[in-house]
Amino acid sequence: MIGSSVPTFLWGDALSTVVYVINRTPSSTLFFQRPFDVLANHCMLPPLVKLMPRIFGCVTYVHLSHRHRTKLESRALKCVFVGYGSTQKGYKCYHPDTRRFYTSMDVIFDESKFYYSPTDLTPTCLEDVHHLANHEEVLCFDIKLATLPTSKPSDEDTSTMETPTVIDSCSLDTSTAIDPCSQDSNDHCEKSHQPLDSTLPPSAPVNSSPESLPIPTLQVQPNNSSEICLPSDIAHHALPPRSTRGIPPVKYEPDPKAKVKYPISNYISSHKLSASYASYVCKLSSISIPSTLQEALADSHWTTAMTEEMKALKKNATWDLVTLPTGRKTVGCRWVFAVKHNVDGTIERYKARLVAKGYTQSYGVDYQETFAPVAKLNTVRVLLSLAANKDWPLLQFDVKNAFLHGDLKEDVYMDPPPGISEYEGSTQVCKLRKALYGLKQSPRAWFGRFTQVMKKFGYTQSNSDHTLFIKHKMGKLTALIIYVDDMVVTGDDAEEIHCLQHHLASEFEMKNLGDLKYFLKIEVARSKHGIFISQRKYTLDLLSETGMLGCKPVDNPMEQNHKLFQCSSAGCTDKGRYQRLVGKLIYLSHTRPDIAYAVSVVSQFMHNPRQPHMDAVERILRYLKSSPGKGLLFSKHGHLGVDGYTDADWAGSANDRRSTSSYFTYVGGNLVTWRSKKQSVVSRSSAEAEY
Amino acid sequence: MAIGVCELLWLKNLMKDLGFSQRTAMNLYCDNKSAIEIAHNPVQHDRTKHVEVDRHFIKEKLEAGIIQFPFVKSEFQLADVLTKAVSNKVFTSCLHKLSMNDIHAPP
Repeated sequence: MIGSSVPTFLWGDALSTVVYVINRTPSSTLFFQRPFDVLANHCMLPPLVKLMPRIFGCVTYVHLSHRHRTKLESRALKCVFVGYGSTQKGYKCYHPDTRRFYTSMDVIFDESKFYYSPTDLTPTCLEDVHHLANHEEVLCFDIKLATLPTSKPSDEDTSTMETPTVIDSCSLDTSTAIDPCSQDSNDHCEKSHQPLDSTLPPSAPVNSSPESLPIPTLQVQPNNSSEICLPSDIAHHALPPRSTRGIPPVKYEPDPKAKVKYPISNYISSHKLSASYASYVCKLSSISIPSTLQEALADSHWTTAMTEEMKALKKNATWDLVTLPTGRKTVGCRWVFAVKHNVDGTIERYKARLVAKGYTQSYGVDYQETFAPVAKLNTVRVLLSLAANKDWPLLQFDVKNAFLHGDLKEDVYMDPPPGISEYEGSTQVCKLRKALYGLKQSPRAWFGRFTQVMKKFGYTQSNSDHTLFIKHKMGKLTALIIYVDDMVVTGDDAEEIHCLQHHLASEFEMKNLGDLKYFLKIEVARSKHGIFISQRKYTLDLLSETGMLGCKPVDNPMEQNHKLFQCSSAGCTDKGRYQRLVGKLIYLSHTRPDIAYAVSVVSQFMHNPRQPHMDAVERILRYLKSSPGKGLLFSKHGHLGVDGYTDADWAGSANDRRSTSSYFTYVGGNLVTWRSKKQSVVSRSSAEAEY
Repeated sequence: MAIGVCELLWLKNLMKDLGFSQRTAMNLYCDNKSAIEIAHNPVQHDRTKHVEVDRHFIKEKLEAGIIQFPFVKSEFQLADVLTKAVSNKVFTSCLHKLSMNDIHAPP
């Protein structure tokens, strides 16, 4: 640096140039490998930019693009070479007159000249140099000490870096001491990292460098690069070795995992979950359930489950085999498969169930009245909020074969079950005596029975939600909510809960599933922060079913200022698929108010979906991909107040200019209900729309 | 607003069944001042004839002290995310206030 008489404020550039060259020069301590290659064995590096090494401080001519000059001006600027671009591929040059740095590849070097000749050094520059020279002895060892423990600017292994750095900085400084203004020592930056040098003790270069190294004269300068043993591949790195030339890079290998640009694992993980919950979640995801009979018959787990179910049905005398009376139709039936989990996530059993195809029944002939005890999820969320605020336990009960408890009053004829060898080829049909899953009337029979039992225990049925049963006893409360045959029990009366469980077990065949974890495909997690519900598995199943697991995620579920309206000009899309998808999304919005609006918009086009609507649905799926595990957190706020937020937009629908009204309600500081609904009338003002 | 009031009344009944009666009026935040004023206005105007039934329903509950309508600025209006597609910034801040988060999110 001193040799090229560069002003001292370029010291930083000189240092980074030195580091640049060292990293690309073979070193004896690394068995004549380049530090960069050594580092590349340990981690991924950006591809090396191949630049011819040049002499620091020499004259360069930087080509100016035509935007930066008029046609009458010179096409190049005379600059000084100060290093290599750190962010760009190119040589870094400094133009002292305009005080600008240029990083460019279009540079012509004149390495025989230095930009700053020693004669035109300004007095300040000289002062700086002397100042440096005065402190040389101190500096030499200071730098040595300073560089030993700390690594160099680039983040290489310190062990590989220390030796060359120390020697380099010493030799640089000591040489300045000898001959501060000499042109001969101009190239110490490059010379000092010769393998020879690094073996020398730090004091050696003081004496040896002027004699032992070939003093680069002006004429031999261009050959300098070959003299300092730079690896030849820096200069000629156009082609890889012949042996690997024809082999395509790894990225084209047919490994589907490597191909996915946005793997789902980037968006979901279990690192925040407790160990037992994480294993439960993992188990949930690991088993697939057959959807057709053929799939199930291939697996021994499912065939044994089917024979067990048949045994139970026969034991229960569920049906008689008769010939079909004339004028009557049969109801079809099929198998449904499920996996039952224990509380700790292990598989309890494989379950097969014969269900009647209730949808083939006709009203007035096969059944009269129907009702299903389906809990409102709003009520479930209110109970969760209460449980979070009051630290109540949440328990889950299950009734085995709930529907089989009811007797059938009507005459129902059913096809013999498929896949069972003894019925194949038979012309007889089954006349049902007991209710079977899938029949229209069975839930009503079951719920009537259940209500009777609960009332006998002293529980009252809530008017707000008929599936909620409450008992107040001495200021304590027990609440039970039933969703067909799944029950959630909560309350502050542990004794009464135990009692209730005992009572129910005496009436029905009951199972205690322990703490609430998985209810209606909603995963429930509990920690000291509160209760968290999400539909993670449901979302993941939905994504994998639609083949969107590898899609690119987006940050919000709907485009801003979307113009979705009922258009008949756009291309058609698969109506069935659209309706199935939107149906699933509607169920998903039970734990996700964030997609509620988007789902309400896309569900307005259910009857005639077109391509833009399908795109909107796909965008929702892409949003789900970005956070499949998102859900609601019920935490403790110490009060049970009810609050609400209401809002309406005005004339938001592009088709009929109707407005959308919406609300959120909070119980005890936790979000429990929300709704986004298009109004049934056209409103004339935004104030009117609020009503 | 009417459906919001309905929902609050349902919640009130449910909480009463569970033994937690609401003694104070429930807040239903609204960001439209004229709508709030119309609810408080004792006179039935001709201009509001299209929403007459809803207005009377809301007014009845308001006078009974069951609900009240505090004003909330539009930027703090959470229900915005349910009426229009909002920008990323508003969306994320709203989700935070809805206490929606992701325990499965990677680090």
